[in-house]
Amino acid sequence: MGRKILSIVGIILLVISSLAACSGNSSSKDDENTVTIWSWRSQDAKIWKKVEDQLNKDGKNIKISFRTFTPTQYDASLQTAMNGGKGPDILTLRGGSGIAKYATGKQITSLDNKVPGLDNFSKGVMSQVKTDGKTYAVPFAVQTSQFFYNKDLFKKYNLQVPKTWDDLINNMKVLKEKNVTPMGISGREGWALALILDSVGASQLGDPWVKDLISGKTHFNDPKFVNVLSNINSLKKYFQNGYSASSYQDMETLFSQGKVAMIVDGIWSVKTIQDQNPNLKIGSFLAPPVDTNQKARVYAFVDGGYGLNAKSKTKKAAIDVLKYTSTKQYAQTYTDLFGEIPGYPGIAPTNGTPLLNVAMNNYKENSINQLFRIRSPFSYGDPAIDTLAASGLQELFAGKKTPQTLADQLQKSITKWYKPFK
Amino acid sequence: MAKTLTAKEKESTIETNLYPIVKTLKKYSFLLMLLPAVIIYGVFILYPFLSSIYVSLFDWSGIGPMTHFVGLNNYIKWLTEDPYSTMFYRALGHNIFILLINIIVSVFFGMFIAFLLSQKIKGSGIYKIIFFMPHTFSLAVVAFLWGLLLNPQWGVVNNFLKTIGLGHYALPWLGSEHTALSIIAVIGLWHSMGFPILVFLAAIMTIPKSLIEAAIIDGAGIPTIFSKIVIPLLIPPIITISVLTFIGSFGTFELMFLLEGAQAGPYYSTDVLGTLFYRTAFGGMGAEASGMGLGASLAIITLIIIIPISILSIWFQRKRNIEF
Repeated sequence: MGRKILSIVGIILLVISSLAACSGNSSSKDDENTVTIWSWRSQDAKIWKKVEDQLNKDGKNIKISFRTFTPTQYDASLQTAMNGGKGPDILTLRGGSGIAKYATGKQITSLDNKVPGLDNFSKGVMSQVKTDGKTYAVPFAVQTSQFFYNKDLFKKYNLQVPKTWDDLINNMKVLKEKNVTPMGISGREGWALALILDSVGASQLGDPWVKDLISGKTHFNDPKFVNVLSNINSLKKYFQNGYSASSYQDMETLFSQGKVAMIVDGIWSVKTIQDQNPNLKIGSFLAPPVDTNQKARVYAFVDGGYGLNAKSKTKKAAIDVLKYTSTKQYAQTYTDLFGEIPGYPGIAPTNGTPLLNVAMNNYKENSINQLFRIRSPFSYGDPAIDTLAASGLQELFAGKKTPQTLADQLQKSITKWYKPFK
Repeated sequence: MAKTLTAKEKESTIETNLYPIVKTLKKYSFLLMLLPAVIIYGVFILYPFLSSIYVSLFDWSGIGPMTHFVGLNNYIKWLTEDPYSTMFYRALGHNIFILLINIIVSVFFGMFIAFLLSQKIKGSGIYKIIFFMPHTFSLAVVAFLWGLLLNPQWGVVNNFLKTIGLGHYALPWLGSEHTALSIIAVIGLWHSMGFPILVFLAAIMTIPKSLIEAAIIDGAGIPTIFSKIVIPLLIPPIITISVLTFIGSFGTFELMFLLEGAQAGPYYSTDVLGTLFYRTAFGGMGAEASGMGLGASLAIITLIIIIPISILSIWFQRKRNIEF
């Protein structure tokens, strides 16, 4: 009998000990000089090594411990770790609501007066890393959307880069007459259609109008915005056959194979398209304004930023790292390493592609400062303009909505949560 | 004689004292055996389930502390407040549409094919493989494959239609609100048909030959055999397949997400509860506000729809079990 008791006690002990092993606390020594950084961008390991070297050269004893996650798992991993109080010192955050939700959750600290280098960034870019007027991240990369065109096709039919909207329509007409599909779109993926709205709106709305929109003085159903939608709608007859079923990849493939002459796409796609067809000569232009008095502008938005964990135990060292990421030197290294547009304005890539040079110049000279779609104030509630524009443009192209009814619907839906409209 | 206990007597006293405890321990030792399963079930199923209910009572983005308690407000939003209610009922309608197509085709067509395969047809083995093969593909592969086939420019389907002179019917299948959902339902069936066929085939095989032989002697033809013997005996698998189809149709997500994105385009014509949940909880393309609380409440509503019907069908199935 005694043996039985022993064995039962033994089993209980075994179960308890195995459970204890499960919840084993992996407490690590909190080294005051080690700054942990998490990201979904595995390629960033290179740049953090350089940052560490540079900081050490400057006499700062800082060690950077960098960890990457699979992009699709990053957000969930970071969210879980942060909620459990075990997040990194510096968080690589996705732009827009990616930054805002950590800021409103009070899990990242405001960087105002901590990172002076941020004063050099443009207003438009800074507005995207602010929540309730406070800055929460150092923007590290910027994306732009623009028209890409097939240089050979333009040359073949003697076409010039359009200066006005009429020029653009004229180019489309000529191409169509020559049996070339003028423009490719990804009708099936609304998010990519919204890039057309960004590009055309950037050139045709103007900062003052968008500023009034943000403050509620004007509305989406204002004739100016309706006009932008009408102009976009007038491109419809130049799209490829069956465009409503084309995916984003289909659009890029059509363009890279020379089957369509123009697309509207993000600067991030250049490498993909060029890889698909190395012989393709790609040119780019900004959506043209209605008349020559206006300037073509570009919609530049923050791809992501670095945030500071509010619970970080090595805040001083982490701020030193963040300070460095807001310098021109960091931006230059970033561009040269990755061929992307850094957040810091006015950088010229040392050996970038011509397209990247153009995009970076546009970002420096022509970017708008008041945003109306992606990363804009209209993007932070539900339903967001992003969702509404994505499905709305599909409806517009399908003829289920007119520019006016689409504008009315945008206004009505956003008024539900956007306070200045109430 | 001094009252001193021998060693043996001592032990027996201890045993008598401990006996009730040991008895209880022995009686409930089965609980100990259950413990590992209960722990796993608790951690991976019960805890997430209960915490979803808890989360659904908050207005919470998924980040930071849950402080904004809203009670049943999230549920009320889905059921009564535009635009949430519009989205919800539209998605629910699409789920029901998928369910109806799936039930009709899986059960009736599946049973019919299984019946044919059970006959001694030449090459029925090959047909079995052909029907079952798509079921082994992952849905990501299926979506990619059909995306290529249905491509409006270089897709095989439209090119074939044009070649045989039916160019008029070469539609943008996945890009039109009228065709997208039906096409996705068909793709889903192409992928899943193998399973009901297999289940029905196995069930048909268990029907004793003597029954059918007796029917033939009595002069029954194939239609009579099918409707009077096979179908009644197949009620249990019909219920099983119906329940699985029901659960599957309400949990459907992958094909819509892979073929039409989180926005379930064109303009939400393929939106189902799964894509609506994904969009709400995690935000669409990373640019939208995410609402974990709102998402959790939608998941609970879906569950409330699924659970009673599943329980009912299990109960029903128990009553109809057939033994030969």
